[in-house]
Amino acid sequence: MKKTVSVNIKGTNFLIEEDAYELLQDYLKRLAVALKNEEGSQEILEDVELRIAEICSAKLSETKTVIELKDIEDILVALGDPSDFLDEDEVASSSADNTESRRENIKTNKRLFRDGDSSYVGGVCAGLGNYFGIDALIVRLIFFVFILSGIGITIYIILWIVVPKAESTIDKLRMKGQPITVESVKNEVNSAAENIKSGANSIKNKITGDPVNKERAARGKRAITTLLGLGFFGFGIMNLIGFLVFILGGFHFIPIHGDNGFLSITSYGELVLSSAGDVQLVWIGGLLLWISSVIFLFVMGTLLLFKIKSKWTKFIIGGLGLFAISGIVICIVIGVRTGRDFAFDREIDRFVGSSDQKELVIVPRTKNYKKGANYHIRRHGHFMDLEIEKDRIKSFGIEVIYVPSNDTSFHIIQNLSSSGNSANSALQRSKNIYHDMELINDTLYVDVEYSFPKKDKLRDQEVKIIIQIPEGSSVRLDNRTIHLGSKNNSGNAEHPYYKKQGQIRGDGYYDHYFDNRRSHEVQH
Amino acid sequence: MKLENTKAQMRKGILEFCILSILENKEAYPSEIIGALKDAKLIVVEGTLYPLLTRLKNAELLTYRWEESKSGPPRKYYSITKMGTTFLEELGETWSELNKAVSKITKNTTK
Repeated sequence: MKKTVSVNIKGTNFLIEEDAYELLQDYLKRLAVALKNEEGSQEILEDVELRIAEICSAKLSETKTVIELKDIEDILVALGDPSDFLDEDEVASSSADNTESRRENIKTNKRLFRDGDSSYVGGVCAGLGNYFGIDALIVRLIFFVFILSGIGITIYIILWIVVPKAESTIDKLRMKGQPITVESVKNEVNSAAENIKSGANSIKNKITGDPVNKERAARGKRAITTLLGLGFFGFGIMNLIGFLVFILGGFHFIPIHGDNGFLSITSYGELVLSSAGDVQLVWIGGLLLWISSVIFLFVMGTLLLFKIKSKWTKFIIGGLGLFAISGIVICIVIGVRTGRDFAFDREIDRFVGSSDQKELVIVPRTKNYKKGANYHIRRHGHFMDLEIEKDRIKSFGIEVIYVPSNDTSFHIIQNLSSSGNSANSALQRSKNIYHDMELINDTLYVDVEYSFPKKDKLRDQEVKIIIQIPEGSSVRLDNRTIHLGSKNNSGNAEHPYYKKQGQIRGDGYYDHYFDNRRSHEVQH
Repeated sequence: MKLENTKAQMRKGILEFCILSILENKEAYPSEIIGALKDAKLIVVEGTLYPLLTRLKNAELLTYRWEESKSGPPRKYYSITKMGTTFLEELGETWSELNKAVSKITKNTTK
């Protein structure tokens, strides 16, 4: 799909592709400049226009109704560069290869430029469209999706800064130029490519050639552009409302997650980030990013809806981009710093006790669990309930892992694990975890919660109970009986609950993992 | 480069002569003139012709009339004026003198 314009050249109407039109327009302008000191320059220009009209009408036929970029390029090559009109010394240089080199100059490899002529904001989308040979509108739609997902603005601004604007005709030709040099049809590869291209062109002409279709297409495009503008506005308003709620709600409104309770982002940040300074920095970064993207969305919407172009848009959007980028940089720095705290995993095992009974009964102790008082956080695919006390974080949910025993007794081991930015800090955090359980005869009383100091932050602290089950024995938990397969027959079902892992939830219920998703951790 | 320049100068000098000659017996519109000149490899790009035509017309050696065309825009048919014919005759004489002189010199030097 390419935009076409209708032009009147010396009394004859032509449908001409927009880029071809721009090229032609530019050529005539340069010609006028080149001839300005020549006597009768106006007449020469008119004669040239006549000639162009003549060639154009010769190029059109029943099946071809639109003048394409290539047609104009051919014409301009035939007419010669504006400098050739006067400087006849150049005309000389011998025939054919000169024409070719001239054309080669025009049709150098395609380059990415910003297209200022068909731009709404910075011409980035139009330029990308030219480069990839697709309509700018499609690029804009794709960008819109990117912007919704949050990274589009940055990409746009980076491209805006990095990609040069097509200023001269040569730039414009390079920007739109076919990747195939038509003139080097000599070799077969190119001629094949040429065939494909002309085939594509004829199809394109069939689709877009009809002026009615064209008009319809243009109207459709305007409609989509308007919708896109409205979309930006709508998204901007949504963002703004969210932002206002956030500000007016005193930063404590937005839940990090949950149906059991709310946790403000600030509090969550304090639980995860290493220092108060980091929390503030993330705030600043986040606010920068948020404010600039809200304003950006409004500016984009305005530009698309009203097609306003002013020299200020560049500064405004550039400034917004700077804000957004610095916001992102701040967040990334803090993110990396925090991420380093997850680099090392260490765990410690504590022996709890052994039992010679035929069956081990596990009884969860839920006395500390208050329904509705916890924060629900999703981590590693399962939910984690948190309760925050003065200087400790209480976490609910204990993993249970079943492994075969090497003798005829049950052995129970408490496994505490955590992450840190070094092996030592990870180990220290593991040691700081407090979790209580008690083995009395054949019954294991297990606290459903464990706690660790608030200063340790959330660093994947986990408590697992490893239960070694002797052959033929079983574990009873929350009305389930858990067997392990025999050594010769390990893992095969003699009983529905033969799998090797589960979790005692904060409310005391037991989830047995029927899929093997965490089994790789079990191979101790 | 220098060689190319000389060739260009030579061509340039006779281009006006050739245009007048083309128009001597019948009127023609620019495309026809371009065709003839291109066939003779006197011009490479069409742009060269237009300033020349305008110059000749302003010097009243050529004149033109408009004619509608079925296949495209109206055409500007150029024809030679009386003054143009006289000038062409003069040019023709100059050309044959030059031709003689040149062939005499080149013959002598190649001997």
